[in-house]
Amino acid sequence: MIRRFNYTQRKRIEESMVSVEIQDADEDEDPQFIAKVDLSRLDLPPDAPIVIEAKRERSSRRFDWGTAGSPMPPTDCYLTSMPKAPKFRIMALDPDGSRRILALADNIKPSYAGADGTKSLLHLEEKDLDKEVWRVDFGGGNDTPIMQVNKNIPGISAVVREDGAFRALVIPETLRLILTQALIIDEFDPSDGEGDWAHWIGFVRDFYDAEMPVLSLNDEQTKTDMKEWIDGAVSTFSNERFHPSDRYLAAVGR
Amino acid sequence: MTTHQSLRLRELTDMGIRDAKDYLASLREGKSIPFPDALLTNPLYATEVEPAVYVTQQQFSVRRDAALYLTECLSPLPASRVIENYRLWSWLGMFYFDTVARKDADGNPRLGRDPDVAYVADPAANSQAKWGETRRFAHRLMLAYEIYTHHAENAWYMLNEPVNSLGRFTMRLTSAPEIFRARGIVELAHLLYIDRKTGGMRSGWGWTNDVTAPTGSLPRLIDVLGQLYMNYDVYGMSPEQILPLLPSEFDRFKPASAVGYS
Repeated sequence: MIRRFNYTQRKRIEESMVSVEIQDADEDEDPQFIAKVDLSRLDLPPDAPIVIEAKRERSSRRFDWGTAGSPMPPTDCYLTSMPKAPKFRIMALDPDGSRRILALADNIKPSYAGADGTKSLLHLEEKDLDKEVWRVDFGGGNDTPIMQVNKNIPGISAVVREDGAFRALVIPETLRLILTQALIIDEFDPSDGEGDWAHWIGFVRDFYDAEMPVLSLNDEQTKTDMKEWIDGAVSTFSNERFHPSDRYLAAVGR
Repeated sequence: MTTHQSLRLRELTDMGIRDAKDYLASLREGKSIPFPDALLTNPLYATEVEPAVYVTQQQFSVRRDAALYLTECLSPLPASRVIENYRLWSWLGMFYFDTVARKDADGNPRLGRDPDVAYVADPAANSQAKWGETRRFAHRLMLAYEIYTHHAENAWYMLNEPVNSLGRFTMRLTSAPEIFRARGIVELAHLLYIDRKTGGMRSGWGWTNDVTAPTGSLPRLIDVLGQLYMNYDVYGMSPEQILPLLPSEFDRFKPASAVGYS
């Protein structure tokens, strides 16, 4: 367990106090988001300004969100000129005008609302990938993963959503890539219930309860053990949840 | 050189972008070839933008000239269709190529170390396949437009630079979009490092070959702002709010009225 010290007396905005949801948008439109903020449990000055910052890689957008006593979204919540799948930083500021942060929630991951109201862990984005068909983009490393597909292939997003053969080949490998990024490259502490990759570990824990090795820095053996754990997770996902070989056979008609 | 004095605004097609880059590549190889005028009007290479907007050849001696003209011309279009529209900026880069590109002694375009993206954006040429902000800022006309749109005269030094250059001060501030977009930080950098009387950079503002940034320099400012970010809403602060928080290494650059803050 990683211990964290708070030298600044800054209050922590817990995930249960905020929610951010990014609305589905056409490829040529900017998405917009909605956020719910309730800081009533933090005993902040009611006139403390709230600011929400969307960020990914080195881009960011800021939105004034009323005050702690009266959160108020702005009229424009479009994520204009932002990379896809940003995270959010939510700040309550000192009302004395110094803009010192009194309470903070960092790296809040949004949920995504599709046209049908369903929510997804993995965001899909059409991009010009030259000759590649798909890839998983991790942004600056621990950003929300995005499945990118080549926009030059007509109907590619529909293929991802509906084509059984494509999904059978790609989805399990996507899970393996994401777990590898989270647990080996980012060395995410799985006991951190609110960290960057907590949603994905929670997703896997729903179907795979094998004991997870404790990763030590520069320890090749534990990395090997972690790779085996990830293989086990993908295998269990395939066997118990996704059944890719069945999907593939059905799709190709054999 | 384009023979068109005034044209309806267009966007380059994939073929237009490819041929524009071929033209730039030919110039780099030292070939003396005429400007491919068809790029600007042939529907294979360029498609008209709706609503109709017309642009006219201009001389842009400094960024401000380009920024003011383009801001006015592009105002009928929604911002969302301007900012990230690499096809539109690629067409503009070609339409104003003769104005923006530097020239050799014979008056021929001289690209030097300018990347293609200074004139023509091609996301596919980038391994990340992104027309992200840091690449957008390399486009000479887009940079002028963005500086003026975000900062107006608070970025007066950046607007005074030649449109065909990417000075080190501007390069440093645009290398991180979150820094560039913070109005207070760009204004603060002007306040600290530009001498308003002479219009030039103050000595020691920060560009050296040393690995370690000089004390009080712009690279140090960006480091310090990164530290303040942990405890302050740095990107939403005014220069007057940031100045008192800067350590004494910045005193020699602070305006006289602000030194007493630290």
